[in-house]
Amino acid sequence: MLPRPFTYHRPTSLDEAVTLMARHVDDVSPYAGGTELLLAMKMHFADYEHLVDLKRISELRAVKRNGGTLSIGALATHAAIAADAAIQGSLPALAGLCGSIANARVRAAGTIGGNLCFAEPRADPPVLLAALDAQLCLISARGERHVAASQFITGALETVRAPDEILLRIDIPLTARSTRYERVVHGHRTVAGAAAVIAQDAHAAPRVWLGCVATHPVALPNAEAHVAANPGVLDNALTQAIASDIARLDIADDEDASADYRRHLATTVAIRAITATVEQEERA
Amino acid sequence: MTKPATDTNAARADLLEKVTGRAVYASDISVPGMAHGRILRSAVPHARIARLDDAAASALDGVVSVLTGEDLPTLAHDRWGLFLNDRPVIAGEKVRYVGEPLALVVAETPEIAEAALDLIDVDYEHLPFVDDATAALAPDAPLLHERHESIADFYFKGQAKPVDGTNIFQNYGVSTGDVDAAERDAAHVFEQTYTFPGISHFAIEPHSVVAAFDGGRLTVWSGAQSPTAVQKVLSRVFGLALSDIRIIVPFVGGGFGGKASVKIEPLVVAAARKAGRPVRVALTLEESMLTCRRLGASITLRTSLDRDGKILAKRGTILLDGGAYADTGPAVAVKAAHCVIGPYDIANLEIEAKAVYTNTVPGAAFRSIGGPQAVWATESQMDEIAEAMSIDPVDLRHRNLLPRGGEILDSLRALDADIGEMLGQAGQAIASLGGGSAAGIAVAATDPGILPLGGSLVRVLADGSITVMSNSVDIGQGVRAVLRAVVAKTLNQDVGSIRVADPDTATAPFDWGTGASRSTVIMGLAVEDAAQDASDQILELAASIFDGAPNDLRLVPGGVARGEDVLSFEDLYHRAFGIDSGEVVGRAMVTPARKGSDFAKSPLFWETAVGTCDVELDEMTGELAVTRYVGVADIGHAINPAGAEGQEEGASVQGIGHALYEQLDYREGQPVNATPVAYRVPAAADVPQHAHTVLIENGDGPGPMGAKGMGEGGILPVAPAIGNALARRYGVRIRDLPMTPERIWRALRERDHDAS
Amino acid sequence: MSSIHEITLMLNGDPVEAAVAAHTLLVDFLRDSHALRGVKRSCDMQVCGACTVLVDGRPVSSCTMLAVDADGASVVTIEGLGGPDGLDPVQEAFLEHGALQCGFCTPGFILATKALLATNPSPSREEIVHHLSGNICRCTGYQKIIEAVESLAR
Ligand SMILES: Cc1cc2nc3c(=O)[nH]c(=O)nc-3n(C[C@H](O)[C@H](O)[C@H](O)COP(=O)(O)OP(=O)(O)OC[C@H]3O[C@@H](n4cnc5c(N)ncnc54)[C@H](O)[C@@H]3O)c2cc1C
Ligand code: FES
Ligand code: FES
Repeated sequence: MLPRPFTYHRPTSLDEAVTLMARHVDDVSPYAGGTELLLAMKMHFADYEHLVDLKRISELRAVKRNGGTLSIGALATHAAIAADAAIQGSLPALAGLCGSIANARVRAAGTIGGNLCFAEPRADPPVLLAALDAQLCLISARGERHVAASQFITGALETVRAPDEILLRIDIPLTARSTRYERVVHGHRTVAGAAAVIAQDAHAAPRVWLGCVATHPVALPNAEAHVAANPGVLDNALTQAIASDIARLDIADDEDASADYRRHLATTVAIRAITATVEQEERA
Repeated sequence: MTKPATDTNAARADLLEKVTGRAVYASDISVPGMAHGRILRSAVPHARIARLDDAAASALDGVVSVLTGEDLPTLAHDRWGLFLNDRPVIAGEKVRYVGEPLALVVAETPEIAEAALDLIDVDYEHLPFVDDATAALAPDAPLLHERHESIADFYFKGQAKPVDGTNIFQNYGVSTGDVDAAERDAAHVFEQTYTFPGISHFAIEPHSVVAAFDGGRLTVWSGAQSPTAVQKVLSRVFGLALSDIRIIVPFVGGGFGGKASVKIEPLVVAAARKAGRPVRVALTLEESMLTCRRLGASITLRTSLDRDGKILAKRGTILLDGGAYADTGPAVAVKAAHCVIGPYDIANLEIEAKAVYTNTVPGAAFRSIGGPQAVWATESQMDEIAEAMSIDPVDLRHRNLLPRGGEILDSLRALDADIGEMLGQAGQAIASLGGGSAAGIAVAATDPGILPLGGSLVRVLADGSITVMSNSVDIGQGVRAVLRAVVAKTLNQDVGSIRVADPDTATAPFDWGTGASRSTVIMGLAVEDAAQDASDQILELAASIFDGAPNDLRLVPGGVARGEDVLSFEDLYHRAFGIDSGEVVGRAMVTPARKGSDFAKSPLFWETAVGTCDVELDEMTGELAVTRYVGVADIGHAINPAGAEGQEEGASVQGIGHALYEQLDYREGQPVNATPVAYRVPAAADVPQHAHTVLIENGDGPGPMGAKGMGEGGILPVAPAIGNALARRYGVRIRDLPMTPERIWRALRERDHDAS
Repeated sequence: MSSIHEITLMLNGDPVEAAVAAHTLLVDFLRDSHALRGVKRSCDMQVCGACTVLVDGRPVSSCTMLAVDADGASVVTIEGLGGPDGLDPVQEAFLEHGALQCGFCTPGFILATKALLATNPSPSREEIVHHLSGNICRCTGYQKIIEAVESLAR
């Protein structure tokens, strides 16, 4: 349970970080809160020659609101997001989630960027961020690029991030009227999590995403279509639409849950998330 | 007289050390020249070790030595055990479970030792394995141990009864009356099977040992609950005199039985001997989970009743999963067999308890050994019977409970508590928490397997300070506070003047061990007797000086008095010994023949408990929460009331873990959740919002001031009380622990399916 | 080979300078180089909280933090609480309420409580439970710990 030796770099500017990443691209890992990375290195699941610590690049931690967009620096910790007044005001669902995941120590050290980039199949924020249609901004020596959060994670511990890329920030369009994330947690792990987002624009399609169930977050298109066609209606047909989406997913038995139970939980959290948005709509 | 503030602080001296971080635990011990050990563990459940190549590891810079099975022949005895001589100091020809130590690398730093582990090459010749107790009973099951070598009266009275050519290492039966006849006459016969998984102790301090040889003498620092058992086993394994082995036990970061008997000490001592250096091995929590666990059980009960709900007969078949090595498993089987009867008046009994080897983590003692398994079955079934017979569950129990003085078995001591009264108190207490009457209830009585053998010294020093020497270990149960209170009372001294030394076999007398709720009673008596002995000696001395009879004298804080005349200890010793130094040493050894005690019959006392609760279920997800819980315990007398309450609270929350979350899970011989992340123990959020503990004190126990042992019973009724509440409130009965959300969800589906 | 780094930090109020290998964990730096044995190691996986220390007032798992990361920070361990003749109010409350048994989890709980009260001086029972649910105590059943912290809420 001790990490193997490595070379530690601590850039204080983004340029410096990008250069270091490029220089050591063959065997380098960005290093943020370390809550996943160090654990993996302690258990000898992961091993790198170079770690590039991003924590001393202050611009990466910034949270800003630019008009209709909320920008959260990749290095913002869960605790910082939970306590941020701008996020609490504009996206209480995200602030609430970040204030409840993991434990106080992991929230104090762990970052939202690290959560996304690690792409742990049971991670919660990627589900909500996908439903919110967040855009991720990545940087490397080749320049910046933008990837939709919904496209970023491609499998268990797999993302489209290139080895030398750094996640800069997450841009979230503040176009939602109601947002809800619902999850079931057993012990330290989320066994099913679902996000529902109803846009302010009545013509924009509602978004319903499911995560912590298969290898990575997925949209539930039938559920989305049902909610779009029958706003505010919570009926059996909705349950069936959700169930039909979930039936198409590849879900295996694992030590946390058998596949059928997990499908049931997935359906349950999706219904709960949608129900909560309907209630929010009614209250509004 | 109000006590000065310093007194209160001194009374809680160990707590003070703990809140300031100054308390020293085994894992904090460091000795000069110490090297660090790391263990390579078997990756497979059952295999012959075809080849183990440690050449590269040994050659690594900074590696001192590598202990492997090849070193076994250098030991006086290469195997050890407490009931059966079944455990090699380190795996020799074969490995019997995933996690079994195969090699121990000793190096200058933990980091080097860890790096060296990766350089060891092992070739396994796989053997068929069995990771389930029922399968281990099959005639063609793979045998873990080819021969059984049972050892009698080694550390436990009596002997295990293994069956040659099988995996059975203990076979214990209870038989009274005529069960067949009673079943023929019965109006109702109920038969159900209940299961209970292997459960991890999860003591928050992992096992940690430092071993150092000085010539032929050995010193071991270990978080061991039974220092003298460790001493004895080490003397066998290494061929050393008991007097050449010193076991020192600093504070222990939780035990619950997982540090009882002997665990990794022989392994670490063997490594230190080979290395020629002091060696420290501090396991990770994950490794501790691979070191021992509670025995899993499958229990079938067949209970016969007459028309009025009076139990006529009970047949019990208990199968315990003992893991790869027996450890104290044989005692667990005996205890489960007794406990499964319940505190009920049943004339006809046929109970059989078997413990078997499987290719899993070795079973071991765990808080109220064998009890929770048995009570889960018995008390769940009582409610199932009540429901089937349309009798109120509390009423069914009242119809069958033994009164105080009744006998569960005539070979055992009569029941020394009134469980009916405890039931009443439990009902009142839970109603007073609000929310109406309880939904679930369970009762239990268990016979702690206590050997009354333990001594202590009480040294009254010249300045009036007092040192108590004993081998009772503080595993968090607050034994030092109890001993201090007993000495203070017996010698009429301020608690603040009394210090309890760390257990140390070089200086403190033999004590059988800390466990089975025995410290308060046995060590309490030993310390009381030793203090009394000191008192007698002091009064004798004083009598010669005051020129009177000892009867006219009395002890007062700091000295002796006759009437208004007070003589300090210093002055007393000065006058008696010629210098103002010296001390009086009170000695005592509690034995089965102790005067004034009735230790002829076992148990010395019954540990009784009633648990009652209410639950709330999320019917969509199957998640169950305990909303209210009341535990009632008859503890005779609370010498340290806050400590006693804390013990009960801790036991009940552990019980909630057992009931709802905990299970060391195996697939294909591999442990699937033996890590602190995957294995769930209760957290603060899992504690009932409303909880209460009722302590019954009648001063009728065998210990000092009428205390009984306590701290174990509280865990017994928890799981069945919760299961019974779930059944009562939501109409689903779970017979397999833990009651996970998924299991409850399945049961709910079945319920709804049956209803439609 | 790891890179070696000069770090300076405030450790329990005292300035400390040290050279550490990049891969040195904070828990080992504190326990081995500074004999701060009140920092306990248990799960080694960030789930138990026995190794909790405060870094710039925030609770962290020292078992999964690099020592080099403490560069420039203020680190407080259990040894840094209270003075030579007095206990910190949190320590006092734990003692008073019997909120400990074996005590191995206690430094972590006390520091976690310090962190909570620093940001929320009057936490509700629910907030206390939420905040402390990342620390494991296998002995006490938490009740007395929760009561101790409740007694500190202003
Ligand atoms: C006990 C425990 C409980 C948890 N519970 C939950 C939970 O309930 N829900 C949940 O969602 N999560 C949970 N987590 C996961 C937690 O959210 C993550 O550990 C944390 O967010 C990771 O962030 P970090 O900064 O520590 O990442 P690091 O460990 O530093 O990095 C993780 C990975 O991301 C890469 N990386 C980090 N930052 C960047 C960047 N800016 N650009 C490019 N790559 C980067 C690293 O190279 C590494 O591969 C839990 C973790 C623990 C230990
Ligand atoms: S040892 Fe660090 S959290 Fe458990
Ligand atoms: S007091 Fe022992 S773990 Fe908390």
